Amino acid sequence: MKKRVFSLLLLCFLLLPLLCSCADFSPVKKLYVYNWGEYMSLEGGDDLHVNHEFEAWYEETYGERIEVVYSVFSSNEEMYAKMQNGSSKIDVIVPSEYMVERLIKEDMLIKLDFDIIAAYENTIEERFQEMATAPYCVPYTYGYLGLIYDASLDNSLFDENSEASWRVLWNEIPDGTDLSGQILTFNNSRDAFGIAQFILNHESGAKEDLYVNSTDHARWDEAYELLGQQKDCLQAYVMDEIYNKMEGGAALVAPYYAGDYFTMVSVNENLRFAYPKEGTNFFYDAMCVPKTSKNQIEAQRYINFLLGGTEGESLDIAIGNAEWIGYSSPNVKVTTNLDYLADMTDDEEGYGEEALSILYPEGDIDTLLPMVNAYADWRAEQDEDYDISDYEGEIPTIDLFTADADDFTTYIYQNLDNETLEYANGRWEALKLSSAPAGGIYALTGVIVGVLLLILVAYILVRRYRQKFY
Amino acid sequence: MKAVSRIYMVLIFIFLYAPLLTMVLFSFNEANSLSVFTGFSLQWYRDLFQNEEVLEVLSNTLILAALSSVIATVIGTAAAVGIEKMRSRWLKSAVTTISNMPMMNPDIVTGISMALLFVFAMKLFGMDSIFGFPTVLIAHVTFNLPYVILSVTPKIRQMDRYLPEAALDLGCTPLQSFFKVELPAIMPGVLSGLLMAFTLSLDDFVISYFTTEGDFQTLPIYIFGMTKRTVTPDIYSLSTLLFVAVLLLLILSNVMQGHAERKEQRKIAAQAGARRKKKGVR
Amino acid sequence: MNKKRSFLRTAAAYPHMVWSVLFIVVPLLFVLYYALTVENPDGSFSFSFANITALGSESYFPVFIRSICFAVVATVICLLLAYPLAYALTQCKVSSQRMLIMLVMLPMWMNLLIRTYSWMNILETNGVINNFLASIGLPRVQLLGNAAAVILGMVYNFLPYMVLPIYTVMSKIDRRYIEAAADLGCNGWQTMLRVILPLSASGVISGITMVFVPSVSTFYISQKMGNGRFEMIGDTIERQFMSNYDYHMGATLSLVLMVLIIICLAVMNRFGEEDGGVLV
Repeated sequence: MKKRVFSLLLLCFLLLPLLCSCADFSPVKKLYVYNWGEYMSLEGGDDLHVNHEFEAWYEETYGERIEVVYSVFSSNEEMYAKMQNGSSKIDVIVPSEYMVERLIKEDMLIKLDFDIIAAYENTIEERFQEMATAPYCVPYTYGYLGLIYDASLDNSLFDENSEASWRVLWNEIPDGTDLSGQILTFNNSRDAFGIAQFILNHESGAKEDLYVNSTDHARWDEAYELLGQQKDCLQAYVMDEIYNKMEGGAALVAPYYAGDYFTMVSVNENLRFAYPKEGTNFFYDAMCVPKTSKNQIEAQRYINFLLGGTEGESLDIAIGNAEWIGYSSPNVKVTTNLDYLADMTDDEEGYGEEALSILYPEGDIDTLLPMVNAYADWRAEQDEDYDISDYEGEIPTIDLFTADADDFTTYIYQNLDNETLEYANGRWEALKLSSAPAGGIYALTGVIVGVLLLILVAYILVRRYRQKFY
Repeated sequence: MKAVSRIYMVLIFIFLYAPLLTMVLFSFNEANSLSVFTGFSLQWYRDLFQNEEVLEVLSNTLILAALSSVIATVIGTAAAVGIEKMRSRWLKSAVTTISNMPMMNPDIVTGISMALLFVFAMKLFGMDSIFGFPTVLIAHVTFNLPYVILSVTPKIRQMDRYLPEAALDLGCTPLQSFFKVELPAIMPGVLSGLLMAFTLSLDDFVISYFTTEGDFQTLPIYIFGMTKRTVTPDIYSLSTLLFVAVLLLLILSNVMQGHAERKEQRKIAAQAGARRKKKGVR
Repeated sequence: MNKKRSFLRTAAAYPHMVWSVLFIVVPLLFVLYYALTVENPDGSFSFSFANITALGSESYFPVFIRSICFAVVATVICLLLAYPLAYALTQCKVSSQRMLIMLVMLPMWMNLLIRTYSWMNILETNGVINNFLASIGLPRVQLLGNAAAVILGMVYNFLPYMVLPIYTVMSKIDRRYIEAAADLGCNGWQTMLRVILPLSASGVISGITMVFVPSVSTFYISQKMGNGRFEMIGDTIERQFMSNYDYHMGATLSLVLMVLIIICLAVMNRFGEEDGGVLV
C-alpha cells in the first residue's frame, strides 16, 4: 500500500512541471536575436530591459504581440558555426566587420531596407555609411583593442617614452618584472594573431598594413612563431572568462576590447587601461538579418528601434543601452547627446573622465571634455525633470570625435580569402594543439606502464615456477 | 590499523566534500564573491527566486527530465520484457549490445553522433532548425534506455516464471496478465529505473550541449554559459537547493528500502517459524 | 497459442529496437560517413581519406597521446585511492556501510560543472586556499592551470566510479575465505595479496573502465582546471563542432576515440575473463 502511495507521489512530482508548462501555448510571434554575451541592457526591475521595451512598443505600434528570444555567443567563429549547421532560427545577428564581409560574400545576409530602418540615415556616422558593407548591416557598436593591467604595474609596463607595448604580453616588461603565468590572451584566432601582427608590422617599420590582412603564408608563419613563443608565459587563452580573472586579480595583464574595460574596472578599481604604441585594431559589430530569417520585416523594425532615431522615447533607450554596454557608439544622436557624455564621464554613475579618451581615442578630447563638464555642472543644478533643450552652452559636433585620427594607428580586419583563411585556421589549430609542458605526466605514465609490465612478468614467472611443483 | 583506516576515510571524505562545502558556504555569502566570505545572508536565495531566466531554465530541465524518463521507462520496460522472451540468442545479444552503446561510448561521441544525424535530417528534408526541445528529448531518451532496461531485467529474471502463465490459465488476456500480474512484480525495478533516468537526465551536460541550441537551455548548459563568464552566487544557492532535494529523496528511498527489507525479513522469519511449528506438530 | 503469445511478447521490444536503430546505429554510421568524406566548395560531400591522413600529418597525434597519458595517470590515482577506501568500508559495521557508500556517491549528484567550478574557486590565485595563505602571511601560489590541477579535477570527478564497483565486489567476498587464509598461516599482507586482491579483480577492472572512458574523453575539466593550456582530445572535438566548423575532422577524431575505447574495453574484458577463469 505504502509503495503505491509513494509511486503515486513520485508520478505527481514528475508530472508537475508538465502541467505547469501547458499554460503557455498561445501562438506568439518570436524574434530570434543572437548577440554577443553582455551586449545589451537586459536588467530586471527598474533598469532598462531593451527587449521588454521593444515588445511593449511593438504591441502598441502594430497591435500584435511579439516575443524576443535572445541568445548569446562568445566569438564570431562560434556564431558562424551555429549559422552553418543549418539552424535558421536566427533573425538578427551582430557579427564583427570581417565576419559581416564573409557572410556577405557567402550570400547569407539580406540587403537591408532603409525605408524600414528609417532612422539609419540620421543616426549612423557617415564613415560607417560609406563602408562597403553598409547596405547589409547597421553598426551597433565599435571600438579598439587595448591593454588592461593591474595598477601595481603602473610603473613597470611603460618604456622611457611612457608608451606601452603589446610585447608585455610576451612577458617582456621594460623594467624586467616577471609576469609569467599572469598573462592572458584571446581565445579566438583573429584577435590573437592580430596582436602578433601589430607587433610585426610596427617592427618592420612599414606604414601600411603588411601583416594583418596579408595573404602571404610566410607572414602568417611569422605571426604563428611569435605566438608560439608566447605560450609558455601565458596563464590562459580566454574570451569571456577574462572578466572573472581580471576582476578577481587572478591575472595581471590582458588585451581586451576597450568597452569591456569599464565593466571590469567597476568591479576591480585597481585596473588600468592603455593603448600600445604598435597600434591597434579598429572593429565594429553590426546588426544583420540572415537570408534564412522568417521575420525579416520584424527584424528590421527591431534594428530601427535599437537606433532610437524615430521618437524621443526610443532615443532614450538607445542612449541607455549604449551607456550600459560601455562601448563606443556609432550613433551620432547618441554620441553628441550631452546627457550621454555627461553620464559616461560621471565618476559615480559612469566611468569617469578617462571614458572619453578610451572610447574615442581618435577624438579631440581636450576640446570635448570641457564642454561635457560644463554641461554636467549645469545639470547638477537642475531639478529632476530638467529639459536638455534649455541648456545654452556649447554642444559637441560629430567632427570632434574623429579629429585626431592621424595620431592613432589602427588596422581593420578584412575578410580573408578562403585559402588564406584555411591556412590561418590551420596555424591556429596547430597553436592550440601544442600543449604546455606536461613532462611529469608522461614520466608518470611511463613509470605506471613499467610497473604494470613488471607485475605481469613477475606473475607469469611465479605461475611457471608453481606449475613445476603441481 | 583501525585508526589508520578511520583517518584515511575521513581524509577522503574531506576531499570529496570540500567543493560542496565551499559551494554551500558561499551561497550564504553576503558579498558577490565566491572566494571571500564577508557575512551571512540569504540574498542569493532571494535573487534566485526573482531570476526569471534561471527559473525558466529550471522548469525546462525538469520537464525534459520528467518526459524523457517516463518515455524511456515505458519503452525500456516493454523492451526488457520482450528481450527476455527472445528465442534467438544472437538477436538477444545484438539488441542488448546496441542498446548498451550509449552507456559504453563516451558522452561526447554519443552527443556529436546525434548532432550529425539531426543536421543531416534537416538538410535532407529542408527543414528549419529542429535543434531544441525535440532533439534533446530524443537524445535523453536514448541514453536513458539502457539504464532502465538494466534495472528492470533482473526483476524479470527474479519473477516466478509460472506467474503470468497461471494468470493466462485463469482467463486473463495477455495484456491483463502483464498489467495485473507481471508489472506489480517488477515494479521496484521499473521505479528505480525511472528514478535513475530522471536524475541522469537532470544531470546531463555533454549530450545536451551538442544537441540543443540557444533557444532551449537546460540547467547544466546554462551553468556552462555562466562558467564561461562569471558565476554568480545564486547558481550556488540553486545547486545547494537541488542538492538538498536529492539528499532528501535519497534518504527517503533508503529508509523505505530498509523498511521493506526488514518487513521481508520478518515475513521470512515468520514463515520459517511456521514451518518449524508444523514440523513440531508432526 | 503459445507461439503466438511469445511472439506478442517479443513484439514488446520492437519500439525499442526501432528506436535503437534510428538513434544509436544510424548516428554512429553518420560519424563514419562524415569521417570518410570532405565538403566540396559547393556544399556537397565527396568520399575521401583526407581526414584520416590529416590525423597522422597534423599535430593531432600528440593530443591523443596526451589524453591517454592524463587518463592513465588519473585512473591509477583513482585506483590507489579507491581500493583502500573500499576495503576500509567493508571493514565497517554492516549497518553503517550503506550510509557510508551513499556518502561516497552523494557528490556525484551535484552537477559536474558546478563541482569543477567550485574547485576553481578553491584553487584560484584569489581563491579560498590562496586567501588563507595570504592571511597568514605566505605568498600566493599558482595552483590552477597546471597538469596536476587537471589530474585533480579528473580524480575528484570520477573517484566514486572507482569506489563503487570495487566495494560491491569486495563486500560480497565470503568472510570464510579470509578466515581460512589466516588459519592456513597467511599474514595480513599475504591474505590481501593472495585472497582479497584476486577476488576483487573484477571490480577493479570495471572501475578502471568506468574511470578511464570519461577521463580520456573529457573536455570541460581540462579546459577549466588547466586554463585551456592542455588540450585533450575532447577539447579538440568540441572545438571542431563549436567554433572551427569542421564536422568532418570532428567526426574523424570521435571515430578514432571510439575505436580506442572499444579496444580498451575489449582488452579489459579479456583480462577480466582470464583472471576470473584462473580464480574459479
